[in-house]
Amino acid sequence: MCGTPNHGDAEECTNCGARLKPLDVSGSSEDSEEWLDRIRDEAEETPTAGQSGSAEPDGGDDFGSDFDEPAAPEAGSAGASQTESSEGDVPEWLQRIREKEAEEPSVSDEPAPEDALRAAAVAQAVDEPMEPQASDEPPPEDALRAAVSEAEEESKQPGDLAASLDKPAEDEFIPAQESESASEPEEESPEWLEVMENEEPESEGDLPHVPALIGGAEDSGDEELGDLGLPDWLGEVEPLEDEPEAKAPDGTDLAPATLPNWLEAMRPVDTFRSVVEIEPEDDQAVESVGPLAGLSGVLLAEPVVAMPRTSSVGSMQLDVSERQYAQAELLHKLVDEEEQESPAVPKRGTRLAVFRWAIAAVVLIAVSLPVITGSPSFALPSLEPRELGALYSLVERIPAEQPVLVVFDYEPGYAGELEAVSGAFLDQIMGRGLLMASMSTRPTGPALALHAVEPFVDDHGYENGQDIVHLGYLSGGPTAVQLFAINPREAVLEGFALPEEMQESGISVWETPVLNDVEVLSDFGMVAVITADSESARVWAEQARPNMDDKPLVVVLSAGAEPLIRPYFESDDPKVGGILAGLPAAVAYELRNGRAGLAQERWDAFGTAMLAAELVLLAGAGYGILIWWRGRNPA
Amino acid sequence: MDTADLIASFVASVLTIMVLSYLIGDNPLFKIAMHLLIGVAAGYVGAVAVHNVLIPGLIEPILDAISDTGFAGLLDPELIVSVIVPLVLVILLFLKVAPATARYGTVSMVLLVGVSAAVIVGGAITGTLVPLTLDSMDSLNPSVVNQLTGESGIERMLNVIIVLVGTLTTLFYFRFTVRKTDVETPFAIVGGVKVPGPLTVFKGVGKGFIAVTFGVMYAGAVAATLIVLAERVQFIWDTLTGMIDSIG
Repeated sequence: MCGTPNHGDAEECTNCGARLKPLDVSGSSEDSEEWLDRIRDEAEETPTAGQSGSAEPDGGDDFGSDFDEPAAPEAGSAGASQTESSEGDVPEWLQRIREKEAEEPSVSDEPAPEDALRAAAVAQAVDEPMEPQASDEPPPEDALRAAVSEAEEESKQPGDLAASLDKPAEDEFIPAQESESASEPEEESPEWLEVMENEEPESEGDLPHVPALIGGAEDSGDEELGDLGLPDWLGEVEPLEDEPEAKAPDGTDLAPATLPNWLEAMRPVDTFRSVVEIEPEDDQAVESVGPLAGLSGVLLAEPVVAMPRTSSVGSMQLDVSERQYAQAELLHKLVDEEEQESPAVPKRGTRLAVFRWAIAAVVLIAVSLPVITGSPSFALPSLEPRELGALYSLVERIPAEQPVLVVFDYEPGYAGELEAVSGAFLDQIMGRGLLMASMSTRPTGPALALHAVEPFVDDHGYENGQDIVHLGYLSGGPTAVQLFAINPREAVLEGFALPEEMQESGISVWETPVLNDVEVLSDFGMVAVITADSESARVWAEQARPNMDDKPLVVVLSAGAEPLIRPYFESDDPKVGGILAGLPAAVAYELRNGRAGLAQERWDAFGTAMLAAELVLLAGAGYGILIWWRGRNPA
Repeated sequence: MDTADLIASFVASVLTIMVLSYLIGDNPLFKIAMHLLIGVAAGYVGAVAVHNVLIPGLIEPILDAISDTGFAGLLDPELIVSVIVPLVLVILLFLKVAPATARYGTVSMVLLVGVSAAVIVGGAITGTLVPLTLDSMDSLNPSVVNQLTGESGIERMLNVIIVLVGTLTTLFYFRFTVRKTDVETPFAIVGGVKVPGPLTVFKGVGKGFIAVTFGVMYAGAVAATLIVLAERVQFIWDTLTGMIDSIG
């Protein structure tokens, strides 16, 4: 089956265990059950003309035509009468026999008793398997033998069927074409018939050789059965073991018996072979319990039932390539690794915590020393940023009658920085007595605005509602900024922290002296955005600047946001007219204002902290270089 | 400093110290301060939204219209456009709270997102992309003077060249750079030393500009943080001295 070369005497393949020789039907009846069952099953499945109607077996064309017009036997031989009784079930080859019988008298009148006997026996024997049989009926080979003996007995009676049969048996099994030609008129005897007439009766050895159906059967009767043109289902029987290796009709060697891949894949692998083996009779165990107690060679149920084995249904031999196998192994490995508990990473927190605490201590001390002791003190910057002059001039040029809109767009966390940075700017605006309105696009912005302007309101005598108003929270993000730039009065409906008398009298923030003349954004003398976020400054530059005409947009930034906003300031068509960022610029602004503020108050702490931070950075860099150097030079 | 301010300053100082306690790791004091900060901020934002946005924008106009002309005033086209429709959209958006009714708020979300996207993209193109792109292609004429900074001559030309090279190499690094796995053929090999090709040079220069930019931003963030820390330390010291003075 698998193609593995085996020894000539081997009954089974050493590789796949497939049987190499046919079962010996001459053995016990149990051995013959398998092929008998198969023959019976096929016979039952083969539709007969009388049962299936349209269904036809192999050679059904000839059979069908013969059945429609059955040949009426002219001779009343016993064989002919027997074949008539089962005419509806006869196979093709038998039908040809009958036709031959019907035509024989016209060909030759010579009796051939032994041939007729054989034909009758075959007809009777072969017909029987076609019919459903009871389980107690003898097997087909027995029926064949019985039929042959019965026909011999009948041939001894006077007027037997031999009178109507005059030719050897081999003549009766000529091909269908020859049979038809045999039915030609008598005066035109076919060539083969003439040759046969001239020949002596052939011996059995000269008969056309057909592999015997029953292996090991020595009687000639069985051997001749193969010469009778057995139907296909009988021809499927494998050759005998002593028969030479099968050859194709054209003489080429047949491929060794192989199973298709799909069938090979389904074949159970070592399913029962290692478990149930036929042992020598002496070694076979004697059943001790149950109805089979005392019998040896009984199949043990325990190995079959209890022993684990490969399932015959699910045992599939997968055709796995090396790559697929490697991928499967990789997947298996991944799954295994997922199931494994990863070892706990040892904490390196001790050393890191020490470093962290040390750095924090250094920075805290650096910040606290100037605050607590007033030293060290750093000299105030003598240089000021170039853009500071432009901003200062810008504020100075704002018309006194136009209010300034200051947007406080930062979170409370940045108040400490931005209040110090924007202090000088607000101080200059309020020092000039300009009207001012505050607003924020963040909910916490209005409160921060109140806190940021509070010191300057007191210093410059600003009055809420008269000199300064708070528009409050502008909700809606960039869309609201654009809306406010187009129509401020529709964007902000109600002010924030208006004096109680104004609220009670129903005066809107737009009706206050600060914003009474403001209808559009360009009515403000300047818009200043104080923010720690570059995004907020960019939104105001993109959405509000186009509606400000020639009025400047100023941004006061946290030091971290300055690099991203400076391009808006340094462009040829600047979107930002002034920029103020960082504590040094704020200190310079205060110096230019001539009034000390929060920037100068925190200058020393800021300077000390920056110095400490720089030292820490240098120490870290030196430590890194040291580690790198030690890594390259372990000695 | 009056008592109320003193108490407020003391509470603020304690909260500041609780936040700074994160230095020793995550601890209950830090968590309490964070939860308190978040809760207060959320409550404050909610109050501001109600008092500064919802009441003056939605509630008061409807009440005023009803009080002036009765319920017929709600049929005023101007009121419908400016108040009723927004109110319906707000209600629909509020339905997003429940999963079963969330789909009804999609209309409001679509309007919100669509309008915001249009405004932001339009502003970015006209306010940032086009102007700054044009600014990166400035004239190299030494006689030109920058109106704001007053730069001129060699200084301005140098700045313009730096801007041009920085812009091109940064764009080159981000968009036109070779993949990391691709090794550019060296421009030349001099004495066994490979001279990198132009692509590698541009990529390296662009990376340098980006590194400098992020370095400046980081330095600014550190400076801002130190200013805030100095302000907090100053605040705590002032509170302590104020409390000591008030006790004394």
